[in-house]
Amino acid sequence: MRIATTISFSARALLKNKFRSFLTLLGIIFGVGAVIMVMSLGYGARLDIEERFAGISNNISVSPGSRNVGRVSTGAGGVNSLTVEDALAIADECANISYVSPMATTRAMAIYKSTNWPTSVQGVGTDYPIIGDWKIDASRGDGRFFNEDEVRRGIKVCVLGAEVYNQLFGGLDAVGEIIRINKQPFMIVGVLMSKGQFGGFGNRDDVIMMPYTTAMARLLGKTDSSVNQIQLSATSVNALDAAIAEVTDLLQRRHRIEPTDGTADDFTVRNVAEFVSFAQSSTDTMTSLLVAVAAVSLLVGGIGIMNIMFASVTERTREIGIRRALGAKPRDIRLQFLIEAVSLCLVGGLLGILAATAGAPILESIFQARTAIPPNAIPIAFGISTGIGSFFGFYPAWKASKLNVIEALRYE
Amino acid sequence: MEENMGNDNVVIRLNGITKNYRMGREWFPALKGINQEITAREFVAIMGPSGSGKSTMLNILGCLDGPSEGKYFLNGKDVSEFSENRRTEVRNKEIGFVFQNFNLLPRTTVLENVMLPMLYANVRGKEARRKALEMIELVGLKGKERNKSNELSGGEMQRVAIARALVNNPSVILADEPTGNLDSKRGTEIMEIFKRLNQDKGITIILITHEPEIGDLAGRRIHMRDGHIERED
Repeated sequence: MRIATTISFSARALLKNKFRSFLTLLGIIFGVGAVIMVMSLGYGARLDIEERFAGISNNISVSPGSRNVGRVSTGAGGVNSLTVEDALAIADECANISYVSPMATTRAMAIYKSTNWPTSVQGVGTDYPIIGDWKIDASRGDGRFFNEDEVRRGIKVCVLGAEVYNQLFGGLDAVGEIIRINKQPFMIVGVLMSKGQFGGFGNRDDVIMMPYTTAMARLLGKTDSSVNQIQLSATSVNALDAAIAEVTDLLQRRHRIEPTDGTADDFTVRNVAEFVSFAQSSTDTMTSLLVAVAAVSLLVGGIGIMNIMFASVTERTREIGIRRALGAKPRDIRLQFLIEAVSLCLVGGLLGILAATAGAPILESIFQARTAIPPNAIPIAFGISTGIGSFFGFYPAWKASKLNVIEALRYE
Repeated sequence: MEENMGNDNVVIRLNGITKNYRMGREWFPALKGINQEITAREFVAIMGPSGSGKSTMLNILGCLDGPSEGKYFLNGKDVSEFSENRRTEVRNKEIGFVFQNFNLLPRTTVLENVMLPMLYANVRGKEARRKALEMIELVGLKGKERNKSNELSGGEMQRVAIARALVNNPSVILADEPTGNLDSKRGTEIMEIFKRLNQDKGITIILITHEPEIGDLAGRRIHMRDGHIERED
């Protein structure tokens, strides 16, 4: 018996019961749709992370770490172990590092005329816009980032993040204006392009940047040269490991720490790639969990298929008897019913993909999260459908093939 | 083991066929040692009241079931020990069934119904179609190929069944009460077709019936009672 003939028998049987076939399909449509929609939520989050870190994937950040004094840990950041001099030394000596910026951060109140806005202040160097992939928004006046000279002299200039600009100026010209930060006057030299909301990591546009020298002297009132962080960028993503080793080695030498397993270090070196992969893997875990929940509906759909196939076998007992009497072998019958179940599921899977495509924007607006149908969704949907169809279709098909010919022929 | 039965014209040879059915705890003998020979071009009627074993005979002769004991030779081949798969092949190629209740696939066209046995025999679509159209014309249904089986009258349905029985050129046509669900006029027409097939085309026909006037149209009558052959005439 040719497979094509069996397929045509199956297709005709399904088309003769269009409404029932459709009802059966619904279970699979919702199941596959739910799985794909959840996958699209996960894939959207993954793309989001990738894009937001696209310009900064070769970044390295050094922060003060805990140091064990005797047997007592001082806790993370417990020592003012990182200094501006460390940053300058890294810039001088590390061949795999292309950009360096010390970073001194604090929170402050910014005031323009009668508007107040509490925000975070980042004191950084001139390399920082390159390291952090920040750009000046040219549509907001003839702005610029502060320069080497202003950093060296600790001039009171600043660059506004898009959110701060909106809160204080709301569309008016800002470049050249004076704002007060913790009661001290600062001149605005530029406005940054927006980077937008980033998941649970806060609004990165809610920031004011100024020379680290200015921030340390005027806002933090520092008497030493310690900084909160040193931001670095490696010459390339491939050079990350070498760059981290270089920086670690240099800082150990400068801080007179024995190069052991790193437990003695009073600083921590992290790269963004590590953070990205951590964020990705936690997203993936969440997605798998949700997919597992969505898969339950697929299971219910599969049971629906089995139910309807049993009903169909009973209803068509006479037909099976006729076919068997006229030359259909048990395996021909089995195959026919199996193909019916699998093709139902395949059509359901196809419609499920369409449903997910239509449903993803709805999900997007409910969860305020980006969705994207992953490229492997289609093979996965078809794989799942075929699997469900053959698994839940097999037993009814087997039952059909085992019917007694004589009894089936007499069945009313 | 195959035996050469000598006479090449013998289509069916039954040697001591018995068939027992389980009825609860008891075994009920439906056939009690049947010996019979049916030769090519014969038109035989198997007759008897209900419970005589003629339905069981049909099941055995049609390879729908195997005998409990005894040998059944079809065209010299011992089919009594065949597996269900091989019996299916025999039913498909050697037997043409015509049932009392027609047993056509519902909501399926005449053409598709007639083509069905050929599709299970792997006949190519084009050839199957040609042969089916030829047989539909032979039973006088030309022009109704596209009609659905359930749109036909009883007489027409039985003609479709006869066309379907003929398409694989079987060794024998097995007709089980073919006129049982028809009025006498349609019944007579169907019997005319059988007679014509037997006389003009030389097709071996075995008819199972309890009606004497239908049996009278056959060349030979085998009368059954209580699981054995009572007499022949």
